[in-house]
Amino acid sequence: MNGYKSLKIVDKKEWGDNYFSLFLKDKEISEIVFPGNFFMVKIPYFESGAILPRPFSIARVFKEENVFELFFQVVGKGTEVFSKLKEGDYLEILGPLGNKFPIKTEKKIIMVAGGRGISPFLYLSEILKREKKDFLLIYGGKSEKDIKFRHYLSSYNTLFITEDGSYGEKGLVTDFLPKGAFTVFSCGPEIMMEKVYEFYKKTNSEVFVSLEERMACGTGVCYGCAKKIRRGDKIEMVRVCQEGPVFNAKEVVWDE
Amino acid sequence: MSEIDLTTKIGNLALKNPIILASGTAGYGYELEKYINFNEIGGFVSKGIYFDPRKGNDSPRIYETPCGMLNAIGLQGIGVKRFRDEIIPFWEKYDTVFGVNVAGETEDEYVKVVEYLEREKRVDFFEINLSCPNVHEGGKSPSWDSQKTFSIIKEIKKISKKHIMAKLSPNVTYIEEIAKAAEEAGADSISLVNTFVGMAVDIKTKKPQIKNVFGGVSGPAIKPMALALVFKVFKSVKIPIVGMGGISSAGDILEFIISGASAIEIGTATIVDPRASLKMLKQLKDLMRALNHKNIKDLIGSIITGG
Ligand SMILES: Cc1cc2nc3c(=O)[nH]c(=O)nc-3n(C[C@H](O)[C@H](O)[C@H](O)COP(=O)(O)OP(=O)(O)OC[C@H]3O[C@@H](n4cnc5c(N)ncnc54)[C@H](O)[C@@H]3O)c2cc1C
Ligand SMILES: Cc1cc2nc3c(=O)[nH]c(=O)nc-3n(C[C@H](O)[C@H](O)[C@H](O)COP(=O)(O)O)c2cc1C
Ligand code: FES
Repeated sequence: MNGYKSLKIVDKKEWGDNYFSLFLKDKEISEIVFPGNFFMVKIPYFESGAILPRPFSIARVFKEENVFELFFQVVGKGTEVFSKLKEGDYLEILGPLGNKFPIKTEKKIIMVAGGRGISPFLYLSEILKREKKDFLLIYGGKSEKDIKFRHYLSSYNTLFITEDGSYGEKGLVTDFLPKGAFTVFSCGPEIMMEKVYEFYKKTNSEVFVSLEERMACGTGVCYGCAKKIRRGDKIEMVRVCQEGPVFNAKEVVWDE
Repeated sequence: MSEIDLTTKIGNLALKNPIILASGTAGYGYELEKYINFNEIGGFVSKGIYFDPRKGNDSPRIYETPCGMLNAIGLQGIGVKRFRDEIIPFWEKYDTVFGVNVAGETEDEYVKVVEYLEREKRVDFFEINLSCPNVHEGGKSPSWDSQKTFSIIKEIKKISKKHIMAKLSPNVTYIEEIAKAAEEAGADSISLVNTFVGMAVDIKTKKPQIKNVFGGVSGPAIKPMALALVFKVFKSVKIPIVGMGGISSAGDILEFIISGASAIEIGTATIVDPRASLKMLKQLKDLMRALNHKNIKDLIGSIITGG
């Protein structure tokens, strides 16, 4: 039966400014994982007093080598511990979990990422290009320090934006959203995703967002990650780890 | 080498091994089906169930604390009807002891839930959640009061022939009194502990980390307190005890059993790892062998004090 797998870190990349990537090797995961999916990752030792695993999205997949990448921003205890791991160390991970971005669409796809929310769109750009789909990636951050994967993304149709103008266009991602009818995917700070939804709400576009809710189990047993979601005319508390993390933005109750 | 005997009994309930999955930390069961084979575990307790469906609390509902976690789920649940129609059939295919965790906002509601499910053959026992600290403001619960504990168990015993396990809260001054009240009312066993009331604050926003303000603390952080309460109750009642609170290794299981528990429940450990129970089961066999113990029943309450 499936459970946590202990996987060797085959490579690590320090991006600077508290961002880094870990590369793990596993044939099965590399074959089945799809953007939108995430993993629960155990914190390797107890010094931090942290017992709960943490959720991270799939970032990139290198299929020929059976290697996949997780992209991290250091924000607290767990990500601090992960940042100290080295090539050759092991990580215990569970997944892939959760649903996928729905790419079956006739419309052009617009992906809107804020900061570390870029993760799912890295591999997705590659998939969309392979499938010859028309798409645009809008990737924003506070400053040039928050914009990574520049070289990789240069082969895809990407618009870079920073709040201070230190890299790419100056402003907020929401200042650069194209008008029209699209299938829009967004991942990043909740306030950004809400604004993206507001922008497209009255058009013929559909918006899908990847929600970040605190998680404890990732398997659906604890009901800790529930978020208010509209189902018909009712509002329900829905488990993000089971029915998400990707939701149609019009179902999300944007009030918190 | 002879086999290790892990079978145990909680009154009339015969278990393959002492490991039961605790209420609220293993969902309704189906969530774990792809991770564990339920035929291998000793028992399973469902999420707490009220008569009607409940939405539960607003988020954030959980927050990690040192060596543990806070939760205020607010007993989100599907209600008895869907529970009977959708969840009980799921349990037909597995051979393990199956309990329903019964919740209620009033004494009547506890009785109504038991009444509704009493005729379900697949339900082996009811674990009466006298202690859920989340729902009422301030975390008030019937198990704070020996009279309320007595009357709820008594009313349930009047209408149920099944095994009744009274689950106690640790948030009381004198737990022995509450345990005795449950025993006098006719409880077949006692399980403890539920979570300890706790809170955490975000120092930047000055807001509580949990929307509900108060939550229940579980996990390794509570183990020493939970163990002390299990031992205190063991000394004051004759009915069997199911111990829990922070169990995360086979050694922890033996500590509870030696201190008087006939079986144990695993909670937060399953949240951390869906296969934790089976990992501990394997460890437990190895540990028994290493300690030269053949039969886990010989260890129940085998604690040596004052010698
Ligand atoms: C489906 C999903 C996918 C994610 N993918 C990525 C990813 O690819 N890369 C990445 O860097 N991060 C990702 N995150 C966020 C990541 O899980 C959190 O940053 C991480 O759990 C923080 O752990 P910590 O121990 O370092 O921080 P903690 O010390 O636990 O907390 C530090 C801060 O982070 C907040 N936090 C804790 N858990 C979460 C959470 N689950 N989501 C958002 N904030 C949280 C806390 O409220 C606190 O403010 C994802 C989250 C989800 C739900
Ligand atoms: C997320 C969560 C939900 C819980 N829900 C219930 C519940 O519905 N009914 C109940 O009696 N106990 C509930 N509990 C308490 C556990 O069953 C157990 O008593 C407690 O967590 C202590 O054990 P542990 O430290 O092994 O988790 C819950 C605990 C957690 C962490
Ligand atoms: S994190 Fe436990 S149910 Fe989603």
